[in-house]
Amino acid sequence: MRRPYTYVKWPHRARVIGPRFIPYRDATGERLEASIRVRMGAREFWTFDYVEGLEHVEGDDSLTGRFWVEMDGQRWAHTFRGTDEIHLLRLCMWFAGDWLIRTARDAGLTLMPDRATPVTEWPDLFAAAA
Amino acid sequence: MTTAVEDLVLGPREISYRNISRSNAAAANDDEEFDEEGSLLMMLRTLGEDAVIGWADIELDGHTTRLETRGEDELQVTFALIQLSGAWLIETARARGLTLFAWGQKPVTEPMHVFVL
Repeated sequence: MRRPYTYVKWPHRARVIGPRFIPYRDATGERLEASIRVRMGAREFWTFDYVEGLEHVEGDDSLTGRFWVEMDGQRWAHTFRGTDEIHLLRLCMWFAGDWLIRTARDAGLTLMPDRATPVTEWPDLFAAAA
Repeated sequence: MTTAVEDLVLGPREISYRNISRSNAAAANDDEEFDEEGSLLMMLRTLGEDAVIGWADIELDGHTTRLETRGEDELQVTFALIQLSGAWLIETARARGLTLFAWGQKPVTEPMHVFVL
């Protein structure tokens, strides 16, 4: 059976990094937690073997990193492609963190309510408390 | 009964750098063949419900170090290791006269920016 043009191959065991729970206060004052998870290890392959005129082009593959972020009943997931896990993890933290800050602002939520200053930059969501 | 916990290995990540004094400075301006590679490997180990230990092994131009930190969860520890590793790489490159990611648009001066490229 011929391979498809693109396909994703998972390792035997998915590698989930996290979750990280991030406290927030909703509009009624209730304290809740958002969460971020990252799944790493899958590889996406592609080939030009069956494309007329491109048979000589060598296929390639890239590592994929997928994250899920949830807060206040909203959820977003996204997959990045890259060459190494550390680069992908940083991308996932960046985009997940930005989504949390933007969503909290739009929905009137307070992220990390125990902080002295509001959270405006995504690194604040991952740095250890001082 | 205790459960054996596997270490979570992240990387290795290649760290591109250029040693201008070693290569021909004039030729190095536009020739990527002068770029060399350092490396970064991270390991995480869960110690308990609210404790994760992580360490990063880094090599740059023959200079090596291990940086270690602890935190509440894997993403917090990963973030801390990225900050620590980025700072070490920038400082080591500066001390040894190296240019990190010489093909980048701007010199890397912030630890977190080391991993954008």
